[in-house]
Amino acid sequence: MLLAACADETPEVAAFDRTQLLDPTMCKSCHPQHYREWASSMHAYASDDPVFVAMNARGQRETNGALGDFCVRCHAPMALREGFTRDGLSIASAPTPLRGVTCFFCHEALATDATMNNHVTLAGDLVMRGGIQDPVPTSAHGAAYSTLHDRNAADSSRLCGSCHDVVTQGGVAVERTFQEYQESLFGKPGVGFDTCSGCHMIGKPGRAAIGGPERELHEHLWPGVDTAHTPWPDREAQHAAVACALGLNARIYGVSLSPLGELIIKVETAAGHNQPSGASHDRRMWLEVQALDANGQTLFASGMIGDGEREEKMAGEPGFDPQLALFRDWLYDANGNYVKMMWQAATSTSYPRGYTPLTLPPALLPNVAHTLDARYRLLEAARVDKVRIRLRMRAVGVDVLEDLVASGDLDRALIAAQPTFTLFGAAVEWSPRDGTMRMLEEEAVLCPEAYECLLGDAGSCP
Amino acid sequence: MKRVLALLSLLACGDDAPTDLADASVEDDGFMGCPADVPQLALNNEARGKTITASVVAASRVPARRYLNDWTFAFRDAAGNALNDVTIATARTWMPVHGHDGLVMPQLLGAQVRRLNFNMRGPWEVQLSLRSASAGTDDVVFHVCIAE
Repeated sequence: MLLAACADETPEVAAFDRTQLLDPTMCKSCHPQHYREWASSMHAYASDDPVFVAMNARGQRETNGALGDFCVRCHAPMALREGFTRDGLSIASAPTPLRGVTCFFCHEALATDATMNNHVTLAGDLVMRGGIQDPVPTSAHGAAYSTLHDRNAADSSRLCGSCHDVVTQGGVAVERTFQEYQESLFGKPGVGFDTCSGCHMIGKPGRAAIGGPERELHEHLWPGVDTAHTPWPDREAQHAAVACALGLNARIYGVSLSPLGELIIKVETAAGHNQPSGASHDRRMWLEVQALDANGQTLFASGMIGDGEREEKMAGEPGFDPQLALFRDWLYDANGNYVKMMWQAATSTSYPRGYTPLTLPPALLPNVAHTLDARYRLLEAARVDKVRIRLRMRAVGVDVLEDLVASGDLDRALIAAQPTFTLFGAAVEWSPRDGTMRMLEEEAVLCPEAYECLLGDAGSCP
Repeated sequence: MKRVLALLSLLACGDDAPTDLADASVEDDGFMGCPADVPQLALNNEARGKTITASVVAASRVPARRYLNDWTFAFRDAAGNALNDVTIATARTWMPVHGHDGLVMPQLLGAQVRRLNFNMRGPWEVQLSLRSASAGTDDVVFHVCIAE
């Protein structure tokens, strides 16, 4: 009965009621691949993520509850709207179908009143909206086309932007992904235009619903940099998808070494927004650089940061790296003091925006360079035989996680569980002798086969 | 892909700041898709240089898709005779409208080029520099659209 209802052959099957439509597992019966991808995604994980839980708990405590629904508005919008939580503190006891960013929330979206902090208006008509212009009628629910869900329509980026730009109650734009995108070449009308979903929801052939026609569909993985820190469905697939998205969109553009020992590494991103982006105050991306002599002995090293190791060290601390090229945002409070947590950020005379960014910019114009230079001072430059370079990235800085552990909000074991990604396109060995650069094959990624096979899309895994 | 939409424009300065919503009729200049003169990859697609013509005789994905693709080529001279002495000296993917290449350095394995990276949708070029003892040096450019 249920299968037949997927594509309208059995109109006698009762339509799903609201409670059923709110539950992503009900979607699974007709949309199994979409469900599987979503279930592995950070949208599904958004309110189960222990880092979110820890930050929200601490933020509510430190603001005496003034944080309110600020975080949960995007991390569990349906749990909030259905009245199961007001501030996210009770999210673990909210019904599972309402946790995270659910199918219902996105596919009931009717309009976005503001492209930040989730001002999405839901239709309330139980019609599921999508990017297919001629949806097959189904007795399970109403189906309609919407430009907000059409990844070929410029309007669709506004739906993503409604949560992927975040302005704090103190007026600090702590997350600016949509703004960055709008200012980039990707966000400008014309031949080079693409939408958020154009990159983060890759198209592929398939059936939107069991029994439906073959169509051009799109993935529901949304790979960025975040991955699950705890056991989660298809965690390996999500990890592989992130490795592809990161690894094939950044590179080392050029390297030079002067006789006086100035090593310059030009880094570039091909993302349609800055890199890192999103919670860039939490993100950590850095260059690992190792200059070797002809015998393979290290003459210079920077950014040699081990798994689970804090990225930034203070002067005088073991491992202090004065030349570390670190890409991230720094937040400040109303007195201009550096702070880690976004609810502590405020504008000030010293920092009118409440933050300072040092992130790779996207392309703003065609054929205009948008690299950043990392400069290092080396001794014994003449002895350098090769320079190994890797651009590395973590979703959340270890210092941030340690801070949450210290405040009693996070389990220390999660620090080691966080992966560090090496961006394949920006993993090279450069020779100053002849200026040649080769990619580090040990960092190679297989895309998209690596994650498609894990999701059952492409037969056996290579 | 252009549609006429009623969009809501926004002027807001903070989370709780009042928003100024105004209806405006604008064209949705969305993703343009593949231009008519830039086809998707099909086997035997050709690129013609001054002395050498290259064709794609095998590919890991037809049509080519986002991310990494492997292509194998065959070569002919101006008279249409097969050339077996052609070396691919360099290969790169190039997106003209953004003015950037595919970031990943392709691997050159005889007549095969591996890891041609198309990191976004849209019209791309695959540029090959070729060397042949019998036909000299030449450059060829494949124009290919990555639809997805």
